[in-house]
Amino acid sequence: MTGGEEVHPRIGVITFPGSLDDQDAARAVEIAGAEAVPLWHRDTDLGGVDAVILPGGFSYGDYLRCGAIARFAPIMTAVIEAAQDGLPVLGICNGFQILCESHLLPGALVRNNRRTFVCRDQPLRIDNAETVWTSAYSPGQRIVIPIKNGEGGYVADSATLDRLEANGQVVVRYVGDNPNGSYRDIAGICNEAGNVVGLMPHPEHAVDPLCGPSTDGLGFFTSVLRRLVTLP
Amino acid sequence: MTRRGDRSPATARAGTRRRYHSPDEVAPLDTLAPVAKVVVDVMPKPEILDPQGQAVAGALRRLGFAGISDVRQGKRFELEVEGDLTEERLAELRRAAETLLANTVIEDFTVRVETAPVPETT
Repeated sequence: MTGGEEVHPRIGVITFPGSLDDQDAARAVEIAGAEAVPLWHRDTDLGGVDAVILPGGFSYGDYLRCGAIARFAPIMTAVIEAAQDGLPVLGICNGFQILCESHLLPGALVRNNRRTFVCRDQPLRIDNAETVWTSAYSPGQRIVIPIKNGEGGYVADSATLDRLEANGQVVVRYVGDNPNGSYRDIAGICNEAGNVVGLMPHPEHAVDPLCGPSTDGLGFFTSVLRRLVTLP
Repeated sequence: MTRRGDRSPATARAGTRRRYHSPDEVAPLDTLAPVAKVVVDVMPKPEILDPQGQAVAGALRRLGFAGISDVRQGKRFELEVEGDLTEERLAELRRAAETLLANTVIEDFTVRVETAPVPETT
């Protein structure tokens, strides 16, 4: 790369049948300054992207279980392999569900304990600002971004929960009223290596003051850019 | 009127018989693949909160059905399985249940042969 060139990392956004927030995720990527690369669930390779986003929505109509069928889409073979090799992967809402179903992240998401779909601006706290997707935040930073889900309750057995806490793998936590009964108020977690992050709230819906409660979500997309731009 | 070939009544009858065999002659039962019904029941693990079950329990109460202290809701999958149900085959079906039908983080499952393999009859 010659001097003076602008670096534009390429971030893939996967569309599954029933994905809803792929366009908004792509828009957030572009607002953050990277190039959004659309990926199709039937693709078998990631097109050399520098990071991948699994967006929100209702892939396969949430049939069987949320994300249970998307987890076996052809593109997921490439995602799983790349994630195990350290590729940054961000799962938002349904994307988080897909990451749990594919065991890239531990635990599972179940029906909200209050038995209603919750769609509201949610106060959150960034508990791990060292992952590739959260380095733009400061530890303990409070943000407000929308949540919209019916099956957002994060559950795992006590041993797993203790391990997540001890390893600093709880990335985002609900502040105030827990909207869905997630154990330990967990809104988002990461894998041990910190390259795979899943969260139920939607940062892509808080990147533009015109149509979001804040621009607090932008940090998820600028964080990964920092990491990618500094790679040799 | 002239006719091609031998169109005698005997020939016609023989031709008909050749074309319309009895089912057993066309497809003897022992050459058809046996079909079994295997049922996979999936339930949330006991320690997992089941909001759907709670919603159902509440509705039963409101409808006046007393004395039902708890409801848990699961899923039942009926699999039509071809071939014999050997131990290997059953193990394979259990793997299918574990891989897709149930999320073993939050669900338990059982695999049960409901109907033993029976040749499909027309």
